[in-house]
Amino acid sequence: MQSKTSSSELRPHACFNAGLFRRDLSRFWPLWAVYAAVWLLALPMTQFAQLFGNSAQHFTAPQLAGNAIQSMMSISCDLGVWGGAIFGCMFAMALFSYLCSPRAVGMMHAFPIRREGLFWTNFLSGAVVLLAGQVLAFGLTAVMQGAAGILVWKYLLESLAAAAGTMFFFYSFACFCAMFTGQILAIPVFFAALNVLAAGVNYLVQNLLSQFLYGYSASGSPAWVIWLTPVWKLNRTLGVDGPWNDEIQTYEKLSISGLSAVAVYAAAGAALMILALVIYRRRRSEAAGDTVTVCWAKPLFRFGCGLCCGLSLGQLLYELLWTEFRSSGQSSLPAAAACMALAGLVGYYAAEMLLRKSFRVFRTGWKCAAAVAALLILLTVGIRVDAAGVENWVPSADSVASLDFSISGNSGLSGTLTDPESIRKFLSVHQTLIGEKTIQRQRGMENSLSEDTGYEYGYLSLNYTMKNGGCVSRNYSFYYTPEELQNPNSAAARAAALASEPDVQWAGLLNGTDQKTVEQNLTAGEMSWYDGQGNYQSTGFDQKTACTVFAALKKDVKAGRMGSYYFGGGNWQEEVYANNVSLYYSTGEDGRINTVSFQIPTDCTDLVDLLKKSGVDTPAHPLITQAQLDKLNDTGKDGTALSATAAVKG
Amino acid sequence: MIEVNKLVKRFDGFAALDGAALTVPDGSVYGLVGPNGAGKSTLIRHLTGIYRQDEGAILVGGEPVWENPALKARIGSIPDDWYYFLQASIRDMMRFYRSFYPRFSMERYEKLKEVFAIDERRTIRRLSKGMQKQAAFWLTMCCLPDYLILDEPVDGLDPVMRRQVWSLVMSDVAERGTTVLVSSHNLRELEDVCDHVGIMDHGKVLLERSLEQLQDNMVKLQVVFPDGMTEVPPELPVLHASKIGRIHTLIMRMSAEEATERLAQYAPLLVDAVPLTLEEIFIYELGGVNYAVKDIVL
Repeated sequence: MQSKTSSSELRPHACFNAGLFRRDLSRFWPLWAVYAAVWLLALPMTQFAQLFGNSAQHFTAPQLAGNAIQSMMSISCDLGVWGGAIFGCMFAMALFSYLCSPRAVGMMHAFPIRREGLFWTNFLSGAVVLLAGQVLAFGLTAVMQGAAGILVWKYLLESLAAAAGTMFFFYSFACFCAMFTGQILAIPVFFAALNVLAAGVNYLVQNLLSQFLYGYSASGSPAWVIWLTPVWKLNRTLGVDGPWNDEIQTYEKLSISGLSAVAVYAAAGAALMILALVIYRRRRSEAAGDTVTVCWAKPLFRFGCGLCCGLSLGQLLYELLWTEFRSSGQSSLPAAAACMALAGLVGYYAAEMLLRKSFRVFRTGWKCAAAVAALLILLTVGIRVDAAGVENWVPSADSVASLDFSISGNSGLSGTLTDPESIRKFLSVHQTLIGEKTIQRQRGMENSLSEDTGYEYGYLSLNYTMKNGGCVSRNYSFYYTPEELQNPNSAAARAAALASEPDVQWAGLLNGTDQKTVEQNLTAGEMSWYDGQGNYQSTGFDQKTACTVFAALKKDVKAGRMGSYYFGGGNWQEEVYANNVSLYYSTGEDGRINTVSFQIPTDCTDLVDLLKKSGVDTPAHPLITQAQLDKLNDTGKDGTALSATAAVKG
Repeated sequence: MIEVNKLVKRFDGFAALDGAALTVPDGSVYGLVGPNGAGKSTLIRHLTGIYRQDEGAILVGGEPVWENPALKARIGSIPDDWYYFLQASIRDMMRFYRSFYPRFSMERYEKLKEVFAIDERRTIRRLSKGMQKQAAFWLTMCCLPDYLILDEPVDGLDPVMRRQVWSLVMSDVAERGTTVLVSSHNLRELEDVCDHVGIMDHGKVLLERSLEQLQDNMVKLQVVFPDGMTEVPPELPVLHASKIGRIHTLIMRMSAEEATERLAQYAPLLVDAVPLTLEEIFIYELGGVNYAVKDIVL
């Protein structure tokens, strides 16, 4: 009998196995080849065509260099994100596919190697291929650029860092997702779902809030939501920056913006890699084939599916079913709650079916399903009764950095304000509108039931950008009687007054450019007029006239006459001229032409007099009110042609 | 020695192993038998370090198996459904096994090439089921394991190859002192190779003895009672009784001597003790725990 060997004499490497590493490299070579081919096609081949192809003759040497480097950096960013997401997921699927087959997992886990060893070896195989593909592509790119004499290592290494960082993150993230499931096809589903989960839930909740809360409007996604949506964040952050050199007609001193975000995601990738290992060590071999392999993640999966399905499918159901039945224009709490609960149950039981691999799931687990439905009903009710006080909340003036507004009635304007005093005026109107919440809801309902309520309509949109980087959006539709405009404390009167405020008018007219800049750079102007034949013509005027028109505009704005017709009774068409006046000014080094465009209310005496005096408003092409224009159009319809002059006289 | 003590494993609340305990002495061949679903394969997956137990202990050579690569390098196992890579040949798998098992013997690999006579360059999935099983044996035996754990090892092999494989295993036991645990439903075959047997049912090892002890502990008697005595006396502890003509066949859990002695008081005309096969022991032992062939009229 031979002597036996003790365990201590046999120490296989616990954390790495070269045979498995080689096997991984040889086993999945088609995937590695496709990956490498994509990078080679995207970088060195494109560079080769760009630098040595026929089109290279059309550019100067600096232009060619600028274009090639810009193209390399841009491709590195884009392919790093999208290629990272796609190939990272595919790599994880391939390398950890054995965890999805009971036979395979049996063999691998019976081998004399620790779980860490299997994880690190497999993970490393993928990481090495990821990096090797990029190093190869960038190496050949360096050869191309070197041959063309444009090689700058800084640009090349920066591009490689961006691509490698993003790819590492997505690969680690996909491996992390792979640890949670024993179904190969669930890996890309989990990966995609977790990539967009934060943004999706944020959108769905905001959508639900805007259904029920007075004035609430989806205000985009907060920064943390964008960070938790890596494809979105990286896609919008990563880019190529560099000043345009007008002299040589190309970009120079290029750099990749958003490299700090890449660094953050790469660090997150490292953390996910460690977490994936921790989960792998705890993962049970017998879970191969299960949808969710980690015990504590199963309730999360059930509840998560239930809640997400409730929020998404529930709202879809509500929109599909309820919109046909609602006549009051108001959202229905019972209908919404029922749709959400029903969809939540569908989601919960679907998750349960996936977990149990059986359709017979209705008897067991009904309590948890009921809890999901109850939670969704509670959420809907909570939103409807505004448990969080969102409806009545108005930001403090000190906390607002800027305001994008839109105010309209018969006509309107929109712009951006940063002046705290101007913002405070809007906050005051905002507060007044909240005070009229009940009556406005009632009027909205009446208005949807009958067209003849006698109410006039107004609209105010407020998008506050907060100093902390957040965003708050509110949209208010409000109804008012003409008499209410006489009451200075009513929301309608305050909105009307606000619309005529000079700072509000200038914000709308000049789109952020200051008055002096416009005034000093005016080049010309024109006024449109109706020729009576169904066409609009325009009469131009020179810079001098444009300056005088702008001076008159300043006087009328200052006097609060420009927005006078936005809110009011039925005869507002007689209070504004239909002609459009445009003043042109050029700003910036590129000489781009900008426009100040406006319609003139009839009480803007300074403007009206000036246009007449300066010969812009003449009997041949006169200022005509909106009412006159409507009359002219009606007459035209009867077949009787009427000149604009005749209409004015008429 | 392989020691399993109070092993518990639950799958979604169902106890596949419910306090299983067994001991396999060094250098022995231990047959693990039991009905379908008894927990044999689950127990074997614990012994090979695939599953982690919920409770209890598994010691091989005095060391726990879980996450113990040094010990696992001394354990060779062949599951009932051996896994191989889809594109791999036996040679590819040999390289793969060699990278994990430090004692992998190329010398033995070359020797066994003649025994199994399979083209080592052919893709394994192109081989027949029996040939795949041979490939599994080929590679596992090359790892020179101190502990060999086999789950339905000869299933799918032809009779000649079965003998060949058992002969290889037994020569390893004899020459290297390999400890073998084998699970099989082929009790006839186990009887020839095992020196210890454990019977499992419902996640427990109901009994484990040496084959000799097992056979000594149960006896089959053919008895002819005197005229006028047509039934087996009820006071006799009989596990199973059947009758053909005047000959009663009785299965009793005691030694042949004791059974003959007990029957002597009825002055039987004939008492003949016949040794039980492992299959009979299996059937009658499990009959006592409500696992018997049921007479069902269809």
